[in-house]
Amino acid sequence: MADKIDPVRSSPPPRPSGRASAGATSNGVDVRALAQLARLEVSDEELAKLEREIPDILKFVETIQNVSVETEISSPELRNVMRADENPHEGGMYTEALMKAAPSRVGNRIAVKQVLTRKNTKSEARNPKKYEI
Amino acid sequence: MDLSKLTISKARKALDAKEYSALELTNAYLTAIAEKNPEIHAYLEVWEDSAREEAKVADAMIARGESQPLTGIPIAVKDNILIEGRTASAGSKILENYKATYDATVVTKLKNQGAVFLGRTNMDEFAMGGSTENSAFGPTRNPHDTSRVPGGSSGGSVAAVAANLALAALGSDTGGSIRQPAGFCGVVGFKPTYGKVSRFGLMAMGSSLDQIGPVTKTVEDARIMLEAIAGYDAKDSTSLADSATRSGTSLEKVIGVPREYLREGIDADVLQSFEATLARLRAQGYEIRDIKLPSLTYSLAVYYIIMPAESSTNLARFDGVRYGLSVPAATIQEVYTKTRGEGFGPEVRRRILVGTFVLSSGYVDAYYRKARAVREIIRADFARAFSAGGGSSLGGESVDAIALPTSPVPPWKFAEKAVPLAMYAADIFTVPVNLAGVPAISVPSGAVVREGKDLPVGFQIIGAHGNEETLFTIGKDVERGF
Repeated sequence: MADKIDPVRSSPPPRPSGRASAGATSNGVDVRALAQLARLEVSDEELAKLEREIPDILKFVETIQNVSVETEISSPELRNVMRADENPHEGGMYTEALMKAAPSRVGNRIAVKQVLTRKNTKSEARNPKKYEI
Repeated sequence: MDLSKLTISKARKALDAKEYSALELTNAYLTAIAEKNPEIHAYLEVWEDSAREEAKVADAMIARGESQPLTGIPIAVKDNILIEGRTASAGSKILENYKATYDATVVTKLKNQGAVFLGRTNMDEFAMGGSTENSAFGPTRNPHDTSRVPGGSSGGSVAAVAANLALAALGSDTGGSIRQPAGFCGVVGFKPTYGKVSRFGLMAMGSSLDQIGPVTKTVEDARIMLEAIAGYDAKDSTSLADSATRSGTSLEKVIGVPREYLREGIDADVLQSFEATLARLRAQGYEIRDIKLPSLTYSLAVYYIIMPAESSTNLARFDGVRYGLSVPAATIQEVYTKTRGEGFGPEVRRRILVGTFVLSSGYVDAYYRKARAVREIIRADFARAFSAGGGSSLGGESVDAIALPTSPVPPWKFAEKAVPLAMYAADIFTVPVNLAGVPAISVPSGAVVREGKDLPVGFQIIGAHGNEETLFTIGKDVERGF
């Protein structure tokens, strides 16, 4: 799966919370692998440009490695706020409004290409329709 | 009526005194828009018919004696804030034909007051940029010099107010997107405390940084707009309890200036203008005190890790399935990659990739988590500056506010900052505010000359968490000097 791709070519992962080596992280960024992770089609021409720009950006932001952070600082301003799971709205109230925004629908369902595929099954060969799940 | 002299306060009095109707006022703006918008390109869409209808409803409210501060006031709305049934594209091809399915809370509040919505304004795609050049629908021009950018990302909202194409506007500010363009176009831009204004119905960019705020011609108008849109909202889990606002705090009239942060990367005449404004404040009885905010140096780097990390996460929802553009392809994987590849512009793609990198396994500790830790140091630095320092080993600076220029440079020419880092560097004085979650205002403070043209300069005042009141007080004193 794409998720296992290491976005940095042939360099060992830096130690957790340790100082990342500027050379290793800035020179070998595999933009194509990042694009795959981000589900983003990027042309070869743009890829060449990004392979120059992204290491420059990362090199700049790496200056934070010079800050010593001794203890884990809590973030009281950033916290999850949960609400009680109660008072639901009437079922179907917003369905039509939300469905209208979908690029492709079948009845009250959003239609997508088949997500899971089985290899070489006869049924699939007979029935190539993959628009619904 | 002379739109160039008009403010919300003045229009309110005139409307209530029946000097002119809300419909006449709206028509005056629609005429101005028809005349000037083709050149400025502040609006992506103008809602003439509904604006007139809303103006008539406002006139009826006024006739019944039910007028509120914004009844009949014509305003513009940034293209990333939802109005039910209206297109909201965030300046992106991926949402070019998206129609909002509900009202943002700020829009509901403005509707309840009988405000008139003139149209939606241009912006850098998904609020990513500082010039409005990243809009998929072409840039907005600075009304003071149309060969220059209006700033961004709320460039359309700000240019609309500056060119008298709206009496006020809503923008959003993730790293300076209200204040910087306000500075560039010579109007007032306000970034409230994080959580002060509900973000329900604002398209998320950097969720720990985003705030909606007003763009107006005067500090008083900014206060009127903020009062109308602020308040706790159960639909936004980050919104603050109304009790978090400090009111009636006494002003010692002490303004801190982190001068170590002003040593480089700032144009000499911009710095001169900043010093001149400080001198005017001193003449009004303020003490200007040098303060240290040592971690400020790292804010730009911290910002350009946290913001892309959060943006890339937020933009994962654009997959061609539920709304917006969907590029047909053979497999669902290809639908995702082609839709996102075609729908997102270059800067958005760049930030998604940087965000993906700093969050990827093996690098998340060194980049994203480290940036969050450094952010807390920045936040603590600000808190210390505002505190009296009792019990703190480092000691507080006990200032009422901190002053910084809004931008280190005046508005630049189109395509002048083609290298991403060059554009990012212009955010140096605005991003620390969003990282700290505190409020700030940019107030017009004179001009610098480039190629024979006067270009506005913004003076930025930063307040303690929840203390917008002090910013209005000092902001008015800055205004008084000009």
